[in-house]
Amino acid sequence: MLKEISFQINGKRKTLKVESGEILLDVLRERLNLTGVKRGCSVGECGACTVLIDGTPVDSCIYLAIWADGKDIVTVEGLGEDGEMSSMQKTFVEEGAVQCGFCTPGVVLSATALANKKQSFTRDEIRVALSGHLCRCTGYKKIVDAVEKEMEEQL
Amino acid sequence: MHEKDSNPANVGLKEKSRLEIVVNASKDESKTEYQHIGKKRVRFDAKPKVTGKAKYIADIKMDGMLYGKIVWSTKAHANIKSIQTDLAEKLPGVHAVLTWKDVPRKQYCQAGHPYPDDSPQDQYILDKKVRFVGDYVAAVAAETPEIAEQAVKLIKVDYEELPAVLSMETARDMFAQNSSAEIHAGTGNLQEDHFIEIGSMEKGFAEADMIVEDEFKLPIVQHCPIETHISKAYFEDTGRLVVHSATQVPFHLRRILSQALDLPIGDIRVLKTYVGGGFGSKEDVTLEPITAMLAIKTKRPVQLEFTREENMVSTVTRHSAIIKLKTGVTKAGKITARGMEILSNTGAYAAHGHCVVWNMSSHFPTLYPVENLSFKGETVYTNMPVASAMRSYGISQLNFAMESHMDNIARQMNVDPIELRLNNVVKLGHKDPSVIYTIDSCGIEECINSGKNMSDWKKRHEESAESGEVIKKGLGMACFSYQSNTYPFNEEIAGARIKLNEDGSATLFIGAAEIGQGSDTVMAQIAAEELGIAYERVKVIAVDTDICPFDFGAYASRQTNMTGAAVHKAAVKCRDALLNYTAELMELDAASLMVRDGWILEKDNGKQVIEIKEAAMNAYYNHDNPLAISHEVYHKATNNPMAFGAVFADVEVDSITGRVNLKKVWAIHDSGTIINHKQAEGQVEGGVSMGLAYALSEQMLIDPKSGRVLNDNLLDYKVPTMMDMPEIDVVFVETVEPSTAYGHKSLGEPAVISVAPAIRNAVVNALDIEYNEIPLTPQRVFEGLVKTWEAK
Amino acid sequence: MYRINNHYEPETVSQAISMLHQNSSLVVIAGGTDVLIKMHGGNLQDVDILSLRSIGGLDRIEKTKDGTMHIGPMATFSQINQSALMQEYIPVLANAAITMGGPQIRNTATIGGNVCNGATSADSASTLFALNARLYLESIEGTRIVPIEDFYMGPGKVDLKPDELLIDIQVEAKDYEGFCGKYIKFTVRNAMDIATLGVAAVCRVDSSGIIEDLRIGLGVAGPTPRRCHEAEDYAIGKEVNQETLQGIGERAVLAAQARTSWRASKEYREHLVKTLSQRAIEEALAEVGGAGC
Ligand SMILES: Cc1cc2nc3c(=O)[nH]c(=O)nc-3n(C[C@H](O)[C@H](O)[C@H](O)COP(=O)(O)OP(=O)(O)OC[C@H]3O[C@@H](n4cnc5c(N)ncnc54)[C@H](O)[C@@H]3O)c2cc1C
Ligand code: FES
Ligand code: FES
Repeated sequence: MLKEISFQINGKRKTLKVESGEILLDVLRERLNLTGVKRGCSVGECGACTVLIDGTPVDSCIYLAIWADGKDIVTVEGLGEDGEMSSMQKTFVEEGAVQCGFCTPGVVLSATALANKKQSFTRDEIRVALSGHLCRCTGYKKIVDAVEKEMEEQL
Repeated sequence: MHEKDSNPANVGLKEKSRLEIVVNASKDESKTEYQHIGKKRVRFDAKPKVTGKAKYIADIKMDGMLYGKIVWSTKAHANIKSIQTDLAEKLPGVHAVLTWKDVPRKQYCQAGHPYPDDSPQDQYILDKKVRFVGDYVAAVAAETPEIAEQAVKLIKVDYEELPAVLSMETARDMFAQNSSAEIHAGTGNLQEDHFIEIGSMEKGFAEADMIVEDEFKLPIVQHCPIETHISKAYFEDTGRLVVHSATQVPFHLRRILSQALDLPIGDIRVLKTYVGGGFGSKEDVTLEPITAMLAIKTKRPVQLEFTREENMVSTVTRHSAIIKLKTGVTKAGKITARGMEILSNTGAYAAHGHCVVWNMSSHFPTLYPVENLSFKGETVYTNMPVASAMRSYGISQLNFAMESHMDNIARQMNVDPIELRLNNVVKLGHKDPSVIYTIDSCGIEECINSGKNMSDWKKRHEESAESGEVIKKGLGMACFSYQSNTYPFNEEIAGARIKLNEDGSATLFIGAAEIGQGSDTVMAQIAAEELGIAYERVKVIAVDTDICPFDFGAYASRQTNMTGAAVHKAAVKCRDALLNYTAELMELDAASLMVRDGWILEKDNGKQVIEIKEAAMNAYYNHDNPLAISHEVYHKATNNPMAFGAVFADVEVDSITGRVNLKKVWAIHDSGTIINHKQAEGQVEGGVSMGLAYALSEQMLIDPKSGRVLNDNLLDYKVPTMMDMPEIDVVFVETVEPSTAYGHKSLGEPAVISVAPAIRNAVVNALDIEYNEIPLTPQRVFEGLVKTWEAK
Repeated sequence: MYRINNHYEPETVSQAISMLHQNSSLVVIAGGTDVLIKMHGGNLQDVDILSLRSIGGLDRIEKTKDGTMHIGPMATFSQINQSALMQEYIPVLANAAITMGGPQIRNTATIGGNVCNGATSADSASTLFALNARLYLESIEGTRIVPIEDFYMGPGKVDLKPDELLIDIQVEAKDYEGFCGKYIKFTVRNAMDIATLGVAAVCRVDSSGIIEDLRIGLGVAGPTPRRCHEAEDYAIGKEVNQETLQGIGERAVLAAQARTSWRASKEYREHLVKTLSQRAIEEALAEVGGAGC
């Protein structure tokens, strides 16, 4: 069953016909070429496929494309402006929070959603907010450092 | 290996032997005169990664690309009687179905070893026999992943089941009782064994006042890179095969592909771009041969990407092992004899197999040198997932056993485990009797002592038993030594080519594999250092086997040592060529010139002579005598520098539930000079997370009846999350290793090694119960507690 | 691509139940974090899906005049955790919610899906057992009210007819007012983990330290979540002290029907029931002073 859906993707309106069983992750990667959305498990366990839906981090591998109708979706490609990195992205780079980089797009998105709350968070609260991302490279320390530093600066 | 060095910073460094302890990299950067080495340099691939622009293999689309999918064995050990493929072949959109009849009957070994590889060549791309649940049976290529998946389901396999060997202890006995339990013909399920004795164990034990014996059990664990294994294969216009793979070993991969596919090496091109983590798992040739076969059969590009479940089971794992140690020690705490016996489980195929045990036997003598020493290693085949290389190549297993054993000895002697270690630990200048490397830089004692101070050892270690009623506190430590390449077992070489461009920028071609550890960045730093240009002006090209110099690849923590040396030499050559040329043109003495900050300077007074970009342009476009500046250099290992380190762990154990709460880890490393502090810390922190999981949570569980992996997903297989991380302090004890360009040594693998035994020793310290098996899951700790409750 | 034939999105409950009535093979989907995982594993395929996501108001969390707390089945774990009402009146459930999965899962997974999925490890279940939650099940025939304790019938099996929808989860004032509570989720990891054991205790203690009421819910202590009635009966009227707690722990085990699996042994699970039920009560009492106690 094909259905037409229409949504905001990285600030642009998009209308597409999708199958009932299509997965948001595949639509973003294969049809919209937003390959910054990564696949690490397909079952919600690693967080590599995280995107922001109406500002909230969601695993796009267990989200039907049909459900995106009317939503505002942001992928890592939508974070900066005019080819510039967002300030959160810059801080990740500066703080050494990126190694193989496979978990990075998802983590940056969750971090951005947290920073957008415009509240202050403790290190432990940051860890809770990012605990749905597995990173096998960094041991997470520099990720938490980066998010903490960036949020302090933004406040 | 040292060439005449016109970089004054290098000379100065080697003259003074420097030891500095840098806590959390609050390093004084004015200390050396280096322009880039040891300076904050942001990795240049971070921006494409953090913006999502970096193209990993799965992100690259090709016209007409097909999707591969594998039919996996559902039996642990069986002969394939027949495979019914007709339904799958008829399915619209299916372009190829391959079984063992369709692939070259050529044997190979998947381990990314150098040539000649004396490991058993015991596998085929597809075989008539399956040796574990998850072994390859057949493969399909289809127009969409969905069709491929459907096709796989339509393939029916008829098996003749054979007795399955599902524990390493019974591997040889089962064969003795029933020859059809033999996994590879003619082996009796023994892959390889070896025995070494130095001095006399009898004499050593006779000199001892106490002999302590222990047995340790280590689980199967898996690398779990967040990017699963993936490769693409296709044909160039000229008909050459291109294999694009997330590999750690592009050149070994090309050679092994040529063997398995029965194609000349020159007919294959291997490409590596971004790799989403490897940790040793991508040092094996796993899915590439079958991907290539599917491309060969269909004449179309084929991509094969493993699911997480496939990745867990059907790529590689770390060997499970049973390790026995027997040590003689005098009342004064001097070790007189050390014996070790290991039984290691390589699973269904040899892969890196017993080589890992050889690595153990070469490391076993180093940390605590002793006159009398024996090592017996045995690697068996079982019908379990294939074990191969994983970060530290056997030394995580060895070190866990050795360092837990040291604490057990100290407990029995009632002495401080640090004292016992310091009494016996290796010293500078030590020459290893069996393996021909020398210790030319050695910060092990400083590592131990700084950990001792930082953790408030004396007080905390002794007090621990008196902690709270329910929550018991414990402090533990462990230390290690680790190689920086595979010399002298392999005559290692690594190459680099540098093109110093007309504008004074440089293009660096290397065959070394960046897999997330940051090696491309370090190589660029080295090139920029010697060329005297900005780090941002070095462009790294890696790896395309057509254009990059030969290299062994990313393993044995060798790249900064080996490839770094090649880059250093190539850059020195380019620099000297430019200086000589410029000196001649300007009628100056080349020996009086140096490079720095984009300028050629006078060495004595730092006076600017000419900008490098101008000098380079002059060279390229000189009317009478133009000179293009490009050099390719290979470096050959002549020593194997030892890195050292100590890890301290602070735990709280819930003495009712058995749950271990890791509070803090101090990781103190002597990896020589640190070239990039942020990256080095990142390696150590990542190593801590992998090591703590080895101690506390990770283990691959296999159904003892069917041989099926029970926890083939990231929910049941417990990789640490952000909330499982302790506070981590990383400290570098920077010795200067004379055999490397900047005094540096290995770090990537060392980061993981002593974490698990340090945690184990902390738990023992907290509960006063010896645990000799990991992971220390709450249930395992509880079972130890129960024994003490019953005894009361 | 999941193998889904058709995907229907009714906009009201009555539309939904009439669609279910006409085609009882429709698979209801809420957040999809269980349903889609089953489809990924090939355990569910080629089905028609009925999504509840377009039905407005099913995610509300509200308190009616009589004090009854209504939790809409489509409320996500994040919503429950962050709900001001929950934090004020039933903090034990708000806190249980954040032990579940990781943030992205909590942003998607619903409490209704958690309950209807029927897993013994469901992180909301032990607490809902301890709170005497009542489930409102709606079909074309009308509404059926089932106490949560009766809802679970076996592993993955719940008392939900193919044409029924869970439309409300209610906790009456008498079951939470004046109670303090604690949910302990015992796991190997600190996030993204399934409970080895879950224990929820809610209790009301008078000013002299006598237990007026106590209810204990267990997860993963048997094929379904369960209550510890013997332990509860024993406790009521007793003073809170080590002896009472021990007595409770010993009796809590009687409710368990643990078995050995590769995840944990029977002995270990029973030990956890015995000790963590005591700890949950202690910690619940230690948090007294907080709202809801
Ligand atoms: C990575 C991961 C981690 C997880 N961790 C946890 C965890 O820590 N703790 C835990 O408890 N669970 C966990 N889960 C399981 C799952 O997320 C929860 O059970 C979740 O609450 C299910 O809710 P849902 O809305 O996604 O349900 P769905 O998948 O949409 O539905 C689940 C079942 O309930 C039925 N259903 C849903 N709503 C209704 C309704 N209103 N009326 C009738 N039937 C209905 C569906 O038909 C289906 O059978 C995890 C899952 C994943 C993928
Ligand atoms: S790919 Fe979606 S969570 Fe792993
Ligand atoms: S940087 Fe490699 S997984 Fe996070």
